[in-house]
Amino acid sequence: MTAAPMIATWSLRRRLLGQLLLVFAGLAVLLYLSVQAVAGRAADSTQDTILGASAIAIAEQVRVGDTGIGPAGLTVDLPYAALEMLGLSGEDRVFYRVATDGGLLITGYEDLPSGSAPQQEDVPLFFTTTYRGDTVRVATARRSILTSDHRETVLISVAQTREAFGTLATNIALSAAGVGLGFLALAALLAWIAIARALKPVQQIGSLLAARASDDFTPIETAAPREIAPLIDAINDFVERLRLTLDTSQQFIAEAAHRIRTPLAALKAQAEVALRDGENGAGQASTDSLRRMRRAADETSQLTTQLLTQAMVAYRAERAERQRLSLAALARTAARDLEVAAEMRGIDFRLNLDDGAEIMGDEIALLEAIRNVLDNAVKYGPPDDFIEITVTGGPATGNTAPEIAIADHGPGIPRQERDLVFERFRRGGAGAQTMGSGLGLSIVRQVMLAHRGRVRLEDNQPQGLRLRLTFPAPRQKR
Amino acid sequence: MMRFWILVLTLLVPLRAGAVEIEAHRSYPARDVEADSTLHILGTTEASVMEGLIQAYRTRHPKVAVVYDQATSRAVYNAIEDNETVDGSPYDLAISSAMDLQIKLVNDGRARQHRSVATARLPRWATWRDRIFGFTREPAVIIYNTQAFQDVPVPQSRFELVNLLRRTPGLFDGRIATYDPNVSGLGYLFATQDSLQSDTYWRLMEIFGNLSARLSCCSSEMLDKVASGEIALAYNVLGSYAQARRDAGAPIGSVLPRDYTLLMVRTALIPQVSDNAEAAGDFIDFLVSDAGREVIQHEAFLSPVLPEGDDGTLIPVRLGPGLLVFLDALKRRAFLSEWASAVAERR
Repeated sequence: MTAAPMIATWSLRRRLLGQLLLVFAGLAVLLYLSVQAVAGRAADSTQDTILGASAIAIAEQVRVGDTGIGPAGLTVDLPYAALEMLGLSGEDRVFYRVATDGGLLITGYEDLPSGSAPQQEDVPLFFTTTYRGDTVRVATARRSILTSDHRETVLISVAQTREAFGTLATNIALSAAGVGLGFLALAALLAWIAIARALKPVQQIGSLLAARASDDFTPIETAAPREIAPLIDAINDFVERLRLTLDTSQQFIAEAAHRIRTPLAALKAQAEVALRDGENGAGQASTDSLRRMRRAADETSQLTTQLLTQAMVAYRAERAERQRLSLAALARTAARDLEVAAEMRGIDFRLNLDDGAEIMGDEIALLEAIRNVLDNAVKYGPPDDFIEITVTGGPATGNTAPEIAIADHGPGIPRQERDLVFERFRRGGAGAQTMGSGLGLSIVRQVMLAHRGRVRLEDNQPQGLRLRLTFPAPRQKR
Repeated sequence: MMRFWILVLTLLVPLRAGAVEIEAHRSYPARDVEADSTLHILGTTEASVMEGLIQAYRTRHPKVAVVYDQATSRAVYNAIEDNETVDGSPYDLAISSAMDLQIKLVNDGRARQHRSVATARLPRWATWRDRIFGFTREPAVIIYNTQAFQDVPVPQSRFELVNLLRRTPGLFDGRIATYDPNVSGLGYLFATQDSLQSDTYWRLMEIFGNLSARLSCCSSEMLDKVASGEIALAYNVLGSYAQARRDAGAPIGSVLPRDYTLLMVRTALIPQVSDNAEAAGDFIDFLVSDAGREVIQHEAFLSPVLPEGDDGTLIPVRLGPGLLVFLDALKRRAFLSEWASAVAERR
């Protein structure tokens, strides 16, 4: 057996690895995004803590100023630490504003937005806004203070740009991405090893098969993972079928050799008789012998032809490409091929064909099968009779399964013999007086099997045999 | 020092177009015939001190012409804050010893970012936001007249100074001096930073008040009077200037107080509106480079900022948002009022 060229379209290992890595990469991206979000919130809350502490530290220093000093009679002694501590976390710009809630500036950057006043004095409010071209985080604290004549609410806002905290969040997220990539690499390595281990049984089975002798048809017996068991079953099944096919072929060859040897031996015997008669000078006997020789040679020739035909048809039926065929056209061709043989017996073909019946199949194999059926009908039917050939299955006959039926008025085949006539070299009782190889119906069956069709033998009324070849409907034309 | 083949214009212009009050104006043409640009510098450093640095820069960048305008630190701040121009061009570099005002310019978005290999080597306290760069170290020292201290031990710390002044008030009455923080921005910076460092400062100021201390506008005035012997001791004088006077032969001694010595840095920044930021960046890179430090040390007679940092008693005034606190108008008023009650009212 020559090894067919293997077409490796893709590697199972690579496909598994690819899909796993895709999933891992997705997870790494997810990790990065979630850490980024968390880090962003963490950075916000860290910055808020410092900004809030700063705002409250300033708020504590708001007091009523000396008479006539400071707007609204208020002043603030900005604590050094309040702004200094904002410089510890990075190099961000810092802005502050101390003003009454009526908008009267006490000190700081007049245009810095303060947002809304917080509800509680010791809990600042935080918000993010844009100030002087930069995104800033603002903490606003509230201080209620009693001046000489009324109670004044003071808003203390401290703002800081977000570069350091943004960088912090980005750095944390990048670290997470780094860890994710590390995991990805590790996962790829582990996945590679795991896949290699998982696929090991496949390789083992491969080497097991490669090591096998060519005549070893015993089933593979190895402990295989559950996923591979169907593959092994399939291989075993295939090997079994292969063995059966080989057995059949061998039987066929043995039988064929035997069958051909017999008429050849007869031919040889006749030839010797004729030769001896010729030496004795008995001309009359010689003609008789020669006639018998011709009959033996005919039989051998027909047998050989049919054997070769069967081998060819069997091959074609299995391998040849299917094409769309008209069943009626096949019937006509077969009838034309057998016209001469039929005329010699005074038999007519009556064709009743639906030209719309179409099947998918191999033309040569099918023609051979139909010819064999017709040949039988011509041989076994009575002389000076007619044979009906009917094709149905087209639109004209109701779109049933395409079928060709051939009916004669011969002796027919008794019910008990009907299964047997399909066996190779088996002939019906009625054929005993007729020249034949016993291969005809066996070829028909083989062709029909290959076309997923059925062969049925029926009694023809009032007498004779009706043989029906039924095909599956072809796929709809596009 | 003066290279006569270079055309140097030195002009004293009391008041110029725009609102910038210029104390000195110097113009240096490009050394190459074809000049591509002019670098406009506005600074508090004396024009004569900048001379060496500018010459060295021109040697390295012969296609750049340089204009240097000298002004007070407040004038520098106002000019940059208000986007003042010189000859129709915005200033490309602002140099000032007033760290607080410079920080405020950066914080308020008036300075442009500049990153380079040279600036990356600066210690962290000498730079902020890649926009302000310290290039000289200016320790605040105690200076004294060496003749006045022939028989008296020189105080090595504020504590020793307080004790000395208490023990022998007669020697020092009316003969001690310090910056007037009302007048001098640098004096205010030193005073506020001192007040953050220790309470000894307030005790010292009270004694200064009791001994009728002279209040001065500037380091050079105090150095003049100490050199002449009119004053025996001055507190918080720029160490580099004292060193220069001593090198010139004046009878001046200086002490880096052992308890702590404040370290001020002279800073440079590139205004946001500069139209020659590339040349300005080159100038900053030169100031903080090895070559620039050599020139600062040996030609400008200042101490360059070293990349490796300083020992523990030198406390650098940190460039950062903390400096904004004492610029707050209410804070300033409160501080000066406290200072006045400690010093001035007792005189």
